[in-house]
Amino acid sequence: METSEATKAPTYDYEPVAEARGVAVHYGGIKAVDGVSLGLRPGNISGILGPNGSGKTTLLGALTRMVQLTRGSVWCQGQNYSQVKSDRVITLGISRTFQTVRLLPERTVWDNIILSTDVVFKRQGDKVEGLVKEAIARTGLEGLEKARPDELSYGMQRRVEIARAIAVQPRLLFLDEPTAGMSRKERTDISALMRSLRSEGLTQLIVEHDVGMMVETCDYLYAMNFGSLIAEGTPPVVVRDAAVQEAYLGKHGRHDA
Amino acid sequence: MVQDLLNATTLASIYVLFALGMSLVWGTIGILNFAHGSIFMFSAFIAYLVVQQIPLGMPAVIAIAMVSGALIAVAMQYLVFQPIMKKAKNPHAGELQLVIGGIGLSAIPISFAQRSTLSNPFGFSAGTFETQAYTIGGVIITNVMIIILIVGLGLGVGTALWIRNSKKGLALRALGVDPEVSAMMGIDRPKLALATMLYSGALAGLAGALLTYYFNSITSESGDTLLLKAFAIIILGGVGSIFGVILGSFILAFAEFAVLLYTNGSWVTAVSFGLLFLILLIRPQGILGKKEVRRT
Amino acid sequence: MYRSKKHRLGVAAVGLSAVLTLAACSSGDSEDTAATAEATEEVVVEESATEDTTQEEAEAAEETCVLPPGDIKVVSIDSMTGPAAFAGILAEKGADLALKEINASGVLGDGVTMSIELLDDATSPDEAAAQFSKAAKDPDVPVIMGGVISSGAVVTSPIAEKEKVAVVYTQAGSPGVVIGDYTFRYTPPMDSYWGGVGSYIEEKGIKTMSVLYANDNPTLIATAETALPALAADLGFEILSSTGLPNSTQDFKAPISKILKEDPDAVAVLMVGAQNATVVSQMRESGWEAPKELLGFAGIENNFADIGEAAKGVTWASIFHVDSPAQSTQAFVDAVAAEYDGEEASNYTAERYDATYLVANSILAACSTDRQAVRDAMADLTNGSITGALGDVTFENQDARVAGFVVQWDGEKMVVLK
Ligand SMILES: Nc1ncnc2c1ncn2[C@@H]1O[C@H](COP(=O)(O)OP(=O)(O)OP(=O)(O)O)[C@@H](O)[C@H]1O
Ligand SMILES: [Mg+2]
Repeated sequence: METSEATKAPTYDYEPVAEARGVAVHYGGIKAVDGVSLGLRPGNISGILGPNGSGKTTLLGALTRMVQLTRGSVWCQGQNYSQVKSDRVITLGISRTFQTVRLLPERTVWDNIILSTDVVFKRQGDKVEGLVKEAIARTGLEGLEKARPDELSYGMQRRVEIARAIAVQPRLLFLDEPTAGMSRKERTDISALMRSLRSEGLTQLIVEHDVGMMVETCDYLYAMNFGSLIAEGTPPVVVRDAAVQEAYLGKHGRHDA
Repeated sequence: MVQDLLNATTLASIYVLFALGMSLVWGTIGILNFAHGSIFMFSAFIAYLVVQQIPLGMPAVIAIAMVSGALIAVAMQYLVFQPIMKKAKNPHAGELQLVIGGIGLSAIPISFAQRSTLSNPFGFSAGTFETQAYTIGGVIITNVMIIILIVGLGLGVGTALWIRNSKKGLALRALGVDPEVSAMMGIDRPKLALATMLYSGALAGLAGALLTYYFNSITSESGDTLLLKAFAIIILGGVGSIFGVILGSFILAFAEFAVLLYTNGSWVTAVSFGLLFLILLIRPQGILGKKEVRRT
Repeated sequence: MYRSKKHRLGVAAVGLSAVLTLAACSSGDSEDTAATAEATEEVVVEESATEDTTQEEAEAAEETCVLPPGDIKVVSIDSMTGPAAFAGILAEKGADLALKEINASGVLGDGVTMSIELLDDATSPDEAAAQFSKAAKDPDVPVIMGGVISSGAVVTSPIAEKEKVAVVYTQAGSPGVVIGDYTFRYTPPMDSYWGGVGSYIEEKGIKTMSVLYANDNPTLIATAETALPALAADLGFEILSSTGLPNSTQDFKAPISKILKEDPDAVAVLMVGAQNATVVSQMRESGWEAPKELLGFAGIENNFADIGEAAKGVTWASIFHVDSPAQSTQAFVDAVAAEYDGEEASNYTAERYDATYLVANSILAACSTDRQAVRDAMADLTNGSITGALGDVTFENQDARVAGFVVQWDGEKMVVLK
């Protein structure tokens, strides 16, 4: 992928944990993401707001190499990882959850979590088990180690995904609608977990439709529509932005250009 | 009766040996390898060629067939399947190309063996192994049957337990369920795929050698016959389930046996494939198969 | 030494047909033999005509027929690859040998040669049909030699009838192959000679029989379902069961178990390829030994190399055997050995060898490459008896018939039972 004008290094007054430079992802005529540049602030919880189909999940996909870039590049610690194979992304310290739960339905909670931990920590038995136990404890899954995801509630399954993502001790965590389908109480738990992870220095990027929770939890917000960033800044600034209000309240447009 | 049960169980073990590698590859790295039958045949054929020159015993013959099978399978993976997967836009488009690739590939060893044997049967009669039959309480069992029963059931159950209990087995299962997420988990698909093909090829070679001993000779086309049966077995038991392979093998073998024992034979294919359709109707995911995992 | 023999035989057949066409030979046995001898003589004369021409003899040859100089191209469609390649490849050796002899003898006339354009049907009926159609539509092709697979022949025969071009098959033993004026077959269908084992069945006092047969092979179906019941009615033995198995069957323990319970005197094994070896060895493993009998069929010997000893005693009827006392067969066996590095002649080679001579003789008898004339000459020739590699062959509605031999596997090879 050639580096075009749009993707030359922008300057930030901080050292971004990961960066998108002019990222575009097109599916035929559909411009799911179309020229997004952002640099994630270290130690922050950043959030992406945007109506359905605005390209949030696709942007996370681009940053985790799950989808191919049509244009632009992604960077991590000064390294362009646009061509890195998706199975190496976890070794960059990047880990994620998915918008819909994607677990091994017939294997135990323990197996689901240990899978990637064991790969990352190259089978250091004791250490791996310790990390899995810790992740289970932090996500409130104690006692469910032997349960299978298909026996758990949807909210519990989401926790397993989060536990799986944090057990590998990432430096950057992407969460795609982590609290969808959760009760109020569960949302509060997850929000608390995210803040506690932040206090340990973990950089996070969350996609959520729950604006209230985003304002409460996030340090910095991006707003997307039709595949592009329409606003960014601190939560109060972004939610009051006219374009954001229009995108959320106004009519939903077509995004196939 | 006991004799029939024993014979049917031996046949089931043969099916396990053949279908195991095919199921493993299909259920984990998503390759429905239609060249599995020709790997099976060609490994036995290579062993046959060697035995024609040097009279070897059973262990050496089996070793040659297993190594040949493993090498052929790895070569296929490296030269054909992996490039197809890499080029495929999405996994589903890739699946069809893999099947077609496999069918195309299988033609090469088959026509080679056909030419070289003029399509006559071949076997290991030039080797030193002799089939011995023992009669125990009126039941006849041969040394080949004993080996097939032990190896077939042992490897079947062993592989199933290994998939269920080992970390590598877990990774393979994850690949089978959701390759995209597996990549996010850091699972190196090409490496595991190669290892799986290697194991599956070695199993095909083992099956090829043992079957040739059991049936005394096979032909260039023997692999294709088994391929269709293995396909039925895997569907019966459920794609991705190794215990399903064992169960499917027993169902098919016993069904075939019953039909042949109690009818004049013409129904044998209809019954085995009727069984398959029945399962597909009432339980599309197979007896032990899991429902298709929902993905975004 | 072999050379003179070869020439005598090769041209013998050609010469014979010339006599046949001229004299419309009667069918008595002794007269046939006489005809052969006469023909042999004439051929030797013809051959010498090319080498050191004497006036009289050259004229005699000219009188018979003068074909315009050039190459007569006959199309042959055969299975050179695929599962039937074993038969196709051996068959084409027969054609090549015959062709070489015919052209060397110069019997077709000065500057006249015959050649075969060989097309491989890859053991596929579709492929056979496609190639056959093309050849049949080409008016320059006087006659076609058909493939060995029945499944192909039943498709190509109607094309031959429609396009009015004669086709001579070898093998292709199923019903539906010889269907009209333009279709000929040089291999007797198995059900026409399998009964040759009748004498053996009587001699061994076989009273009951069970049958295992391939239910997707037309030739074996005809043998199991037609020839065997007829023979049973004739000789008064009983068929206890007849089990038809598909070609996907690899393990025979179940049907064997059923048969063992029936406890017949003999089992007829009519399966395909490796199946025969497996049935026979699994029968032996289950304790099936003399005086219990195993009966096979022509071609089964190709499946026995790997079970050797286990197949000892399997008995069947064959149309060809290298130890046949027929002089013409012996000459052919020697010619094959000489041409192909001491190779032992097979029935496939013999049939095609004779069929190739039939084609050449038909052209010669018609003295034309016109399709209709060639087919009429061929019909005439096959009205009588023809002596060649297969010994004496007669035809029933353009379909070959031979007496056959009763043969037995002795553990290493098949031998003729006296
Ligand atoms: N694989 C794909 N092929 C074609 N179009 C796609 C693909 N993935 C996403 N899209 C399209 O790209 C656009 C952006 O989708 P995306 O899932 O990124 O939106 P989103 O902001 O995450 O929406 P939501 O809030 O509903 O999750 C949508 O129009 C979607 O239909
Ligand atoms: Mg989304």
